Amino acid sequence: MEDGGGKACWPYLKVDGAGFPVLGLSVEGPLEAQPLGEAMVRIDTGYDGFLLLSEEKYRRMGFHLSELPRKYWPEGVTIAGEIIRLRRALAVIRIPKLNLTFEGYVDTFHGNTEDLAGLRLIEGLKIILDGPAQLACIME
Amino acid sequence: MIKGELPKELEEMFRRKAMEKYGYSKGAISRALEAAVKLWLKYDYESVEEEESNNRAFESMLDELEEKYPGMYVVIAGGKLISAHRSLAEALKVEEGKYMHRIVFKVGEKPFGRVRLGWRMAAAKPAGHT
Repeated sequence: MEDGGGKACWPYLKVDGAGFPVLGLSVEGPLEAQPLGEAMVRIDTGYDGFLLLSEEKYRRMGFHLSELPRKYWPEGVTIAGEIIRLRRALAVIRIPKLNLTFEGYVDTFHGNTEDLAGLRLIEGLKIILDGPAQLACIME
Repeated sequence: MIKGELPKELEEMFRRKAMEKYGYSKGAISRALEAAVKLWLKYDYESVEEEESNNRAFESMLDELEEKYPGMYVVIAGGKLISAHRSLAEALKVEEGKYMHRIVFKVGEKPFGRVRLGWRMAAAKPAGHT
């Protein structure tokens, strides 16, 4: 995707015919030997945390080595009212295309296989969702 | 077959709730027990001894950390304070293989405690034969 002028775009991810807006993020875990690289992470405004990672990725990247104290782990509440205990760790997150770096929280929970960028991650970003072009763009 | 004992009061509450939810049928207690175990498995985490000891250390030294290292990133591992850093990137550096678990947090920062997950949990898949 051609970018420039402080703008970076990613094409929507197609799943079963539906397009989902994604951001290209690089998450830095404590174990540098197992970097994730730039990964397409779906934007999900239904998740009001920062960054949700699959349980497998959370372990593989070594987030058990940068975990918050247990008393600061959050509870996740689903729309059906179920309560799930999340694990939470500190992480450095980059948007390589814009050379942006910020600190945030990575969450996971038992059995989670999704990677999602939540409300707290996007609240500091200017994002344009271009539906007709099927592009998610960050403006610097 | 799982057998165990509950305190009398808890057992009575559990039986009453199971009957309310699943009716006065033979399988009500089993259904309620299954639901309770699934919830517990989803909610709780097994923690390794090192994780427990790091959390105990955190609890015991929190006041001291808030006084000495406000705004700094503190690393707790092996049940003791390892270091304090001005940047997260520094605190994240780890000697690979030395620890099974570490706590890293910014002193004074209280993260949001509850998050909304905008979906339902999918029904658990059958575990299959063991």
